Parts: sequence; C-alpha cells; structure tokens
Amino acid sequence: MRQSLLGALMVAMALVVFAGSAGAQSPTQPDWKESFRLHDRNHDGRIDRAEFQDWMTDAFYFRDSNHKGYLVQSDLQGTLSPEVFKAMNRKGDGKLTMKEYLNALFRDFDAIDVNGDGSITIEEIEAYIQRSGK
Amino acid sequence: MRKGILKGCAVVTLVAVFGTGCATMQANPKTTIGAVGGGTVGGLIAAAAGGNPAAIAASVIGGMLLGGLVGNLLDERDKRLASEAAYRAMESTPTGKPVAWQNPDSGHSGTVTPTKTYQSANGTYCRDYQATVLIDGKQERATGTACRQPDGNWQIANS
Repeated sequence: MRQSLLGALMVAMALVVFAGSAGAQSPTQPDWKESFRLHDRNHDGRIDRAEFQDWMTDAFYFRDSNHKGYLVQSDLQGTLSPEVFKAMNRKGDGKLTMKEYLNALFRDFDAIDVNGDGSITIEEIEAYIQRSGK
Repeated sequence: MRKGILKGCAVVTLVAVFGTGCATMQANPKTTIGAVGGGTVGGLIAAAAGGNPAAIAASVIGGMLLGGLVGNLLDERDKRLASEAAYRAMESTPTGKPVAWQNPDSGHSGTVTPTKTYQSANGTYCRDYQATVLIDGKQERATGTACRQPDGNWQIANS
C-alpha cells in the first residue's frame, strides 16, 4: 500500500516539472514520459540514480510555492494524501525537507528497479504503477 | 588598471553567493569589467526606475550572465531581452529546456538553459545554466551557477 502511494507521488512529482515550467507557454497536458526523456541526459533510455535525483530535485523546486526551501502539505495538494505526507515527514514538523523527500522517492526508485541495475526505464515505471494498482 | 580590476572584483564578490567567480574574472580583466557593468548597473537602473522586484532580478542576472560573456557587444535591448530570458529560465523553466531570446533589430539572439537544480545546505536553491549568444553568426557559450536569494533575486555564483 505504501509503495503504491509513493509510486503515485513519484509520477505526480514528475508531472509538476512540466506543469510548473510551461506556465502560460503551453496549455497542453504535462507528460511524465517527456519529462523522463528530458532528464535522461545521456539519452540511453534509462534514468540512473544521479539523473533521478536531478529530476526529482527539479520537481521539488517547482512544487515549493514561494521557494521557501521545503514543502508543506498544501504544496502537494491533489497529489499526496495527508497520511503519506506525514509518513514522509519524519521530523513531524509539517515541513518536508529535500532530504526527507528524496529518501522517500529513492525507496520508490529501488522498488521500480526490479532488475537492480541501478537505473529505471519508462517500461519499468509503467510496470511499477500497474503493480501498485494505479 | 590593476587597481580597477581589484575594485571590480570586490563588487562582484559582494553580489556573488560564493567567491569562486572572482578568481575567474581576475584572470580576464575585460570580462570582469563587462560583468560588473552589466550586473550591478543593470540592477541599479531597474531599481532607480521603480522596476518591480522581478524586473530588477532579471536585470541583475541577465546583465551578469551576458556581461561576462560578451562584454559590450550587446545593445540595451539585447540585454533586456536576454535578462528576461535568463530570469524565466532560472525561475520557472525545468532543467534541460532552453529559453530563447531574439532581437530582430540587432539580429542578435541567444538561449539560457538550466542544466541542474540543487539546494544548498541553508536551503537556498541554486541552478547551473548554460548560456549562448549568437552575434554576427558567431556563437559564444558560457556556463555558470546562479542562486535564488530570499528576495527573489538570482545571483551569479560563479562564471
């Protein structure tokens, strides 16, 4: 169940990169696969751990309203339940730090990376979402 | 001349988040002068003109970024367009997506592309960038890091 929720979070975060950036430039629906390709710097069709961290850090930045340096529940409205937010926010202060956020997302990464090669593909993410019942 | 360069370097250090840019600029006096003029003067002009904080921030980052890159080769409108592009790139554009600018009057154009986002230990967001400028068919390229200040200003950390 927990994996399922975090999987949804990961995809939601990925979408935010485009939703936040497009602004008034494009009314089109954000596409996490496009975001994946954008962060696949060496264009090998895989996102390794470093690329994943860069991708998710970008997402954190765009989710952080007013760029205060941390996320609060309202920053994640519509993408994350209060229960999951609370689980991720280990300190319990209502301020999700980059470290807490990345820790949670890298657990997702490890769950997606079923062959353990240290990188994930679009197909692996889709399979993970399917496994998670999303 | 030496005194002038050192004075310029001090100004840059005040503006910069880290001091690393200064050493680079010292090694290239022409670039130092361009960067100081474009960065600090651009911001002061915007402030004096009653510009809003975003406009001031755009002016500072764009001036610094492009002042160091091509010195006095850009006209005022080039600098303004480049500044706006730089601010949009840093503030609201995902990593890997270029923000382009073009001045049909001068024929000059360029792009600013964020290449990495990260957070410093004190929570400040910083972004690496790559900037290009096309002048008379010749492309100049520069990379650096800018960090977002609490007032929304982006300051060049190195160049």
